Amino acid sequence: MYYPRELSTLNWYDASVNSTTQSGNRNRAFTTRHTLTFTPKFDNEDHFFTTMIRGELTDGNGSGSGVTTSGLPNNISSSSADGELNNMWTSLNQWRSIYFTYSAHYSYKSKYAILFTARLDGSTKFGSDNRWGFFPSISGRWNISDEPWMDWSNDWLSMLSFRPGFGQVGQQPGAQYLHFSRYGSASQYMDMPAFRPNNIRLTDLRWETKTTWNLGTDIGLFDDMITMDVNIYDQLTTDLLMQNVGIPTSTGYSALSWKNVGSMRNQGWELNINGNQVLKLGDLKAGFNVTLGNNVNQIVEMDETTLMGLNGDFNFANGSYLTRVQVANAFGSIYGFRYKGVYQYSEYSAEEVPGVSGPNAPVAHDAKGNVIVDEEGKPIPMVFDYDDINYTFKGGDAIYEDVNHDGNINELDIVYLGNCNPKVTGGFGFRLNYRRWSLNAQFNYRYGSKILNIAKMNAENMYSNNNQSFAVNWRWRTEGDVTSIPRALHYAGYNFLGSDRFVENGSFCRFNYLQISYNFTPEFMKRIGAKSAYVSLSGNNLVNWTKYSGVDPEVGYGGYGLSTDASQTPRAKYFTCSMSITF
Amino acid sequence: MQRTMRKQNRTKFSNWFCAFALCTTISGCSDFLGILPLNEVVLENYWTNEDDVRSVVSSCYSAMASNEFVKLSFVWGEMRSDNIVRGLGTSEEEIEILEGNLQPSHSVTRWSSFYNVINLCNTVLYYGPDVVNKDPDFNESEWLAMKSEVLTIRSLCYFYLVRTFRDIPLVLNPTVDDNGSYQHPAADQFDVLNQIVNDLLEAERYAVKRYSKETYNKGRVTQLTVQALLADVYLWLEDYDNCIAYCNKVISSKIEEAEEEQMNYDGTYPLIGNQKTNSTALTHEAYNDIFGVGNSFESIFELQFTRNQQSNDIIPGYFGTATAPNNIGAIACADFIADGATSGNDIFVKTDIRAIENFNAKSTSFFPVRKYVVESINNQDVCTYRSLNLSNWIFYRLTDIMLLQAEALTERSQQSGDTNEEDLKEAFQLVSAVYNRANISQAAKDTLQFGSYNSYPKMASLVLLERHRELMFEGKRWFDLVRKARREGNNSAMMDLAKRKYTYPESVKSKWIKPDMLYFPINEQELKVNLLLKQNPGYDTGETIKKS
Repeated sequence: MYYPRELSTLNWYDASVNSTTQSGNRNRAFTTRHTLTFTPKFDNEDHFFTTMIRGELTDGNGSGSGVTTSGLPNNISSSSADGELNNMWTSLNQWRSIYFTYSAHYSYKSKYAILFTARLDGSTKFGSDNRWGFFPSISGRWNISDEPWMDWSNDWLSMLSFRPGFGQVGQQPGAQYLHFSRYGSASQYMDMPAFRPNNIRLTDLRWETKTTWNLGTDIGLFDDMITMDVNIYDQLTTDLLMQNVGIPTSTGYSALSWKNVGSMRNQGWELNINGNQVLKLGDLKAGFNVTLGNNVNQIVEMDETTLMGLNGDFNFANGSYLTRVQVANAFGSIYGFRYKGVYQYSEYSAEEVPGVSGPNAPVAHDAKGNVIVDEEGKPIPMVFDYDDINYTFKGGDAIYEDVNHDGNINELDIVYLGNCNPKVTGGFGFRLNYRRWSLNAQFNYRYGSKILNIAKMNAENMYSNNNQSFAVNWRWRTEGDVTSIPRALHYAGYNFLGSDRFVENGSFCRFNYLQISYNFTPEFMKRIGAKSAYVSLSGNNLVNWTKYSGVDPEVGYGGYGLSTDASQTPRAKYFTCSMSITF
Repeated sequence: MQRTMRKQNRTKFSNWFCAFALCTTISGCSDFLGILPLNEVVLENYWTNEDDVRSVVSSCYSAMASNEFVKLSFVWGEMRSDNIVRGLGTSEEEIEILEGNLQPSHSVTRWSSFYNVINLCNTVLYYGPDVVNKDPDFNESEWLAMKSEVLTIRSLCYFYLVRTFRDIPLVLNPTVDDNGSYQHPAADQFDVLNQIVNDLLEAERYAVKRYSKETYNKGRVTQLTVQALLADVYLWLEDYDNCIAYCNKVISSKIEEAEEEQMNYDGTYPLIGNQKTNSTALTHEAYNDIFGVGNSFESIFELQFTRNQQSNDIIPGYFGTATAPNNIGAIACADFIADGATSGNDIFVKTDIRAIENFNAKSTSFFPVRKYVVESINNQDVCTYRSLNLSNWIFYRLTDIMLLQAEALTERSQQSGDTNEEDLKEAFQLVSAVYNRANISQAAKDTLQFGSYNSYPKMASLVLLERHRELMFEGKRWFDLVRKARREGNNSAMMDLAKRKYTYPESVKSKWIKPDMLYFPINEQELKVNLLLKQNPGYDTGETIKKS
């Protein structure tokens, strides 16, 4: 790697100017695998049985070294040239793994099938007590439609099967040597070299196990013209591995690098319907496909301190929303204030005096909606966080609903604003064939999700020196302005607290994919001497129907946090034209 | 029939064989999977010889020399005091603290860097004794010398914590495994202070008096460090006799050392003197030596920063740099202290050269701190700024101990009911010595006269004022004020001093009037992960709010 002077605006003596890095790595790994398969031949061919056992062992190690020099003459990119030596390093690493699997498959006619597998995994990442993980799984299939007593339905039911399944898989942490207390060098003090323990030894770390139950049904109708499958699943993750779990810093460490913190459940269902040439009108054939699904994550059990570590308190700062990870509740609930517009006036008066005062002013109201007054009959002003910050709202400030009518906007006025999880997700599409032409259109959608539009917040908060959106032209400027955008306050005020102002419905339907293709006629191919030839034109991300005001509502969900849109680069809309000829 | 029998036998045998093979493979595999890290040493292979112990002892110092540790020892000891106001580039959190609005969410309430050092000390104390048995070249007395260094470092950390937070977890064992609960309840402040005193008394017995290497005598724990720290702890405990005794030990050692080195000094105490060069100009030798060069004769214990290893970024960040506008850092000196200091104000008399050394009183909008930032001041009061961020950080120096002793003597003077004039006189002598070194004109009108300070309240405020002037920006002032409030049993008089820098002094005073407010809140993150801890009641606003 070489960074020439021209690529940088830094001073000539800066360490990254005319610097060159050379490094090398060498890795070696041995893998041995032994497989034994046994398939007996039965005289009665209705029975079929096969079994396999396999063991695999990997041993690898690697070493690397590198050197960075800077301040080299122009165009010299060899690190062995005389320059300032910035960095030198070497590394050594080693990895090993081992596993055994056993599987057995038995079927009787085409009606019954059963598959059993078991896996024994050994890992270098756990201490000797928890090194081995055993993960069995079993699944079966019963083709009900093949039973003789189902003959009555053979005309229209081409397939009906039931697939129950159970399985476990294991997951290990992403780091090595966790079960050792490791000593490494620290920065030297005066001329005394220093060594120190760097971690807490994780002797209690265990495999994370995902146990899945799955019930599925396959249905085929009218000679598989319409096929459907339904899956209901329940996945329980036990000994959930979490990275950097906070512990009291009075131990000398602030976090455990990994810990088994509890268990989590993921439940969901999925429905696929496929129509294969359901419509035939002369040369026109049409098919369709629909997918519906939903799944929800929730914590079943978790250590109290870990749970609290995931849940922040309201920090009285602009732009922050609350969410909570709670046992037996889905993730992704948004909590914040209710935004009620902008105070028109700073001074209160029951009747509006244009340009001076009016009823829409920051004063406290009781539960009946009457203004609360002090002993002199003056209205009590509305404040933010009376206990500490004690900011008195003025005209042009955002109105937050004072839910408990105490004249004080604080954490007690925070309410539930919705959930980031979609109610249904999925896709649908259709295919049309007309003679040699075919058309394929696919859509995907999400319904019922809420998104925090952080991009909008950043572009409308008028708080910092950042560029703002056009909308700020409608901001409150003088007493009496009626608008929904608060006044501009440079590094001051509380005009963009986490409120429903920036919580938006993230439902959308996207026209994801469209392809038109044409297969050339055999005569044409013969003429050019080709075996097959076709042309196609396809477009991706063509249209997105949504009420969401930001760029793209398709943001991630399902984690501990909230779905936020900080204006990521929108999905590219692109078209492909292709032609394929095989000779 | 027979055939089937044999077949069964064979199956049985092969089953056994398989099971046996599997067992041996798996146990063999366990060894195969037990690989050791290649770039680090594991605990099982450590703690075998003297160097192992020495290296971890050294890491205790190196962890103290981290920027977070130095920052906190300054912030806890001074940020809330009347010395500091905001400078340039001050963070929002720092502004909130400087406005008297300290919150449990603030990062300066995180004590992790102190417990990090404590855990390293505990690790040495736990594994060290066994190494004496393992390494024939490592004898008991060498171990005890290291042990006393580590005990002192741990005590220093706990002393900071107990002064800042009052009741804190007292952890004396290292954290090694994940099978402990990690949850330590807060120990009562006096249990912590007792532990400190006992540890220090043990450390004093075995501590090294002098290292063969000169810089080690300032940068590592010596017997003098232990005694200085003990004096400070005894004063906090209001045990004045012991405080005076330990201050005496420190001062007389310094006098002995001065005699050995044949150092010339005026008066009773071996202080570095400033010289008058002509009627207007004078040298700043004491400042240049103590804060510019570092490791001065007067120094007792200071953290060392060396090039290419660790730098002290707190000084440029907080106090200022040569290149910053007006040399100002994130904090500045309070206006009431600096304004008019060179021509005389409530804090400094006209001749006091510390009004030049501590800050730049001639600056216009902010008064930047000079202490540590300036490497040297010449006899025309022209400052040379430090070019590298390598200023040491002083924990104890001689004048600090002298003034601690003066404080203890003043307090003792009125303990028996009648005012003990002998104690007051001795206290006055100590204060005078420190004062005179900084006021070298020494014309009668510029020196302190005992007649003006011959009562307890007058002497007590003189001692406090002298500590204020002498130890400004050294992370001492807030603790001086807290000590005063603890002694008096209420915050009123102390807050009258501390509130002076505020725009709305009365509102801050009324907020901080509860004794609990003398201490910092425990960080909210710590409370979440340690269920046995309780928030300092002064900051506990969460009682009425319950979240499910």
